[in-house]
Amino acid sequence: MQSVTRRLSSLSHLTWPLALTFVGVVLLSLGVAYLFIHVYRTVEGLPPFVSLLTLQFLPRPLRGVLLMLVGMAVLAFGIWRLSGVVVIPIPNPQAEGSDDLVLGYRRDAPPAITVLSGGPGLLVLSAMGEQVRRLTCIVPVQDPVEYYYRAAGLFNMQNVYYVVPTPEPIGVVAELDDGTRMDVRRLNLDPTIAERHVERLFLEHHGPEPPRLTRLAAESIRDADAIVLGPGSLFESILPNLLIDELREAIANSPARKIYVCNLMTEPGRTTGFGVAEHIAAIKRFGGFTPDYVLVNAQRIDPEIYQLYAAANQSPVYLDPEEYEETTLLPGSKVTQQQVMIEGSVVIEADLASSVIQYTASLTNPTESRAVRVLRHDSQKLGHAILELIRRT
Amino acid sequence: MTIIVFEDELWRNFASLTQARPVFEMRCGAFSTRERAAAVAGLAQANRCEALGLGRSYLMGFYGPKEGMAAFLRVGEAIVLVNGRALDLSWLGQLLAEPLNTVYLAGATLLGARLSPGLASAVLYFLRDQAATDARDELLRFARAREVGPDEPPLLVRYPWDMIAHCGEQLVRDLPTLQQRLPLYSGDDREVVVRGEHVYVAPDARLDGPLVLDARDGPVFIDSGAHIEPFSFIQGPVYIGAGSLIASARIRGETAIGPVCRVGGEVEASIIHGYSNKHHDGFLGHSWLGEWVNIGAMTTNSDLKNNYGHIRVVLEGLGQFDSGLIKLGCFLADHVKLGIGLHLTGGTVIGTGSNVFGLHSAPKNVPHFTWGGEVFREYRIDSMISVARTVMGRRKRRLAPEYEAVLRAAFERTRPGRGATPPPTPESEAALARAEAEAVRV
Repeated sequence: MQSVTRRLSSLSHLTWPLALTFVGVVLLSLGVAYLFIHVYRTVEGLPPFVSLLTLQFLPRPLRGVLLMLVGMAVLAFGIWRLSGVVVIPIPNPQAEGSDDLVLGYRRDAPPAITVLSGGPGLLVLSAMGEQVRRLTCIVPVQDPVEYYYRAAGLFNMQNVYYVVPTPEPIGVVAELDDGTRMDVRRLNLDPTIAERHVERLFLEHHGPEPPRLTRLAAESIRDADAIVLGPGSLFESILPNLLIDELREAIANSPARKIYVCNLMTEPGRTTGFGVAEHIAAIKRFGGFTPDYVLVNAQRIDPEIYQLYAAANQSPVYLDPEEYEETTLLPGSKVTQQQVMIEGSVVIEADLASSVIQYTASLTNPTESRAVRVLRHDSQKLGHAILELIRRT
Repeated sequence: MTIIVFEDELWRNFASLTQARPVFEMRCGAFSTRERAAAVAGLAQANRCEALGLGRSYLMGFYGPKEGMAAFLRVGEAIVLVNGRALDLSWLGQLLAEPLNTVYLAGATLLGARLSPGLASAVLYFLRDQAATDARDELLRFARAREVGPDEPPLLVRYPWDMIAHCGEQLVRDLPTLQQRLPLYSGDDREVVVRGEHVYVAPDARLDGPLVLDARDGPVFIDSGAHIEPFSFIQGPVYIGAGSLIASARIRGETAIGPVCRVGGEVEASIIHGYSNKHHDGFLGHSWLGEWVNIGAMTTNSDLKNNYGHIRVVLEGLGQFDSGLIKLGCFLADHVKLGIGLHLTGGTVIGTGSNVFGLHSAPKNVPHFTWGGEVFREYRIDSMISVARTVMGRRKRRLAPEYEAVLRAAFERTRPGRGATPPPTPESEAALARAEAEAVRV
């Protein structure tokens, strides 16, 4: 009995609204009843089922009692259901000594996102930490994780978790299209290979068994709503982790949407000559899966910035008009008619970048710095695009 | 090297006392686990060490590093993990000499580890949620393990009364660490009677004879700035913290007193955390007092049942336990205030921030943040914090916003345990005001 009282007492704040509703329903019923009586008494030749429906085979007092009993039972059942389902008392931590009564409702939880990228890319995405349930960054397998913790402290990142794929860093070696082999982190430091690109990638792991994935990394992939690859260097920040068998399998088995943030520019010595399709193909080749979505920058680049990048053997990565035309004209599903699909991925163009002033110093003269305009993924724009994509898909 | 002292799943066994402090900040012997880890590691490395705490998230704003999780990993530095329930840390020196990625186990419990930053980062998030079993399982996949001993004192404390039962032994174990900074007493005051060998007194401690320092059963440590008033009797093993005042008291063996306390009457085998007052006469035996506790004059606790049976203790959220101890006093969490002339029975537990007065015998269990005597009511947190601010100000300590946040969070978290308390009446409000004024005055 106490539990029944306690449950019904949760409706105490709704006594007046419920009483008013009850009065309204009674008045409405009376009005309908009067109209029915008017119809019975004035209209002739009503079909026989009306007589059956309105219980005219019973004496009038019995009809009244029967309808009242049924009405009260329905009302009691409705109030009982209301007390248990709709109204939920929750303590309000801000107001001492008082509780709030709120209508229960279900709202989608913010997404959990797992990112595979390097330092600058994770820095760009860290702003998303406040808008998601959890932002887990799996750092590149060759990087010491301490640097990421230090950055998190310096930039006061909120709700961003840095996770290592393997307990110890493992070196990554790249083989270029001319057969040259070198540490993947040194590729952009050698101007003599600027026009080359990476053909193969290896982990410098010499143990008898393949490297094992940490539990945190495995769980973050398993439980994510979206796995974001990038932004960052394709061969230095994204693909090295995909060389770990267990990580590759975890991504393949995860129900999360896989989103690849394509590079803004090609990288000398790594992706020279690559378009969007080649970037996606590299992920397919090394990761064994196709991203569900690829975000490509649609913003045109200032000629001045273009020239600066061209001087460094870099060119913008845009959606090739030829690819665009061919894929959009493909017959097939509604999706393929509306969206560009390349290598099995839906490619979405959006304004993702901003040009910023960057101060650079040379090793030969570190005291002298110069300002350079560079193109970077914009934290706000990219975060918005990723969250909107997750929300809509 | 970075030392991280963590809370594990068994923090719940100590929840009655640790709503406003992590387990690793509980004192047993001369130090808390965090302080002892830093001291022992510093001794082993011949270098000053700092130990960082990793506990429940709402405590970290005050008890954790200011930089948050970023402080735990420094470039290229080994990480040493120490379980916050660890008592005897004699194994720590050996662990520091082990190769990287070595795990020490006490039974099946993660006792400590020396790790590379990468492997440490793979378990820090488990430890942040007090999921030490998950952390242990993950470490065992990648690191070598060594079992040091069973999961029980002196390696690990399991229940609050373990700290009282093992305080004396721990004081003896703390001798090598304290010997490094406290000189052997060599004064020639004839009114200071010294018995036994191990009496260590800081040069700026003040001993006003006549008094007796009896180290025949264990060492006596008197830290910097402590003041021992005349007619005091201090029996080892005992530690008297920096700046504490012993007001003509009888301090019996196996007692540890934190910094800036005022202790009078008779105290036996008890642990008193910093800034607490038991200034007047009355007996305190086999008891545990948190920080900023105030005990009124002539308040006395029992630590022995008339039938010499085991004393039972109610642990918050876990129910009643047989402590297995014949002698056990009371547990008073941080900021507890007791009025004058109260009697406490053995095994009494009074929760954080509670104020008990106007009674002959206090109830055996008082929830956190309640006040009263015959009837107990919820202590309004603004009132409680206002009193705490005044009390701390009298010891020249500022109530930091981070600590205030800890108290407010503790208040909210413990609210369900208080249940429905009756609303205050004008008479009860006046009684509380008198009790608050008394607590602030001392």
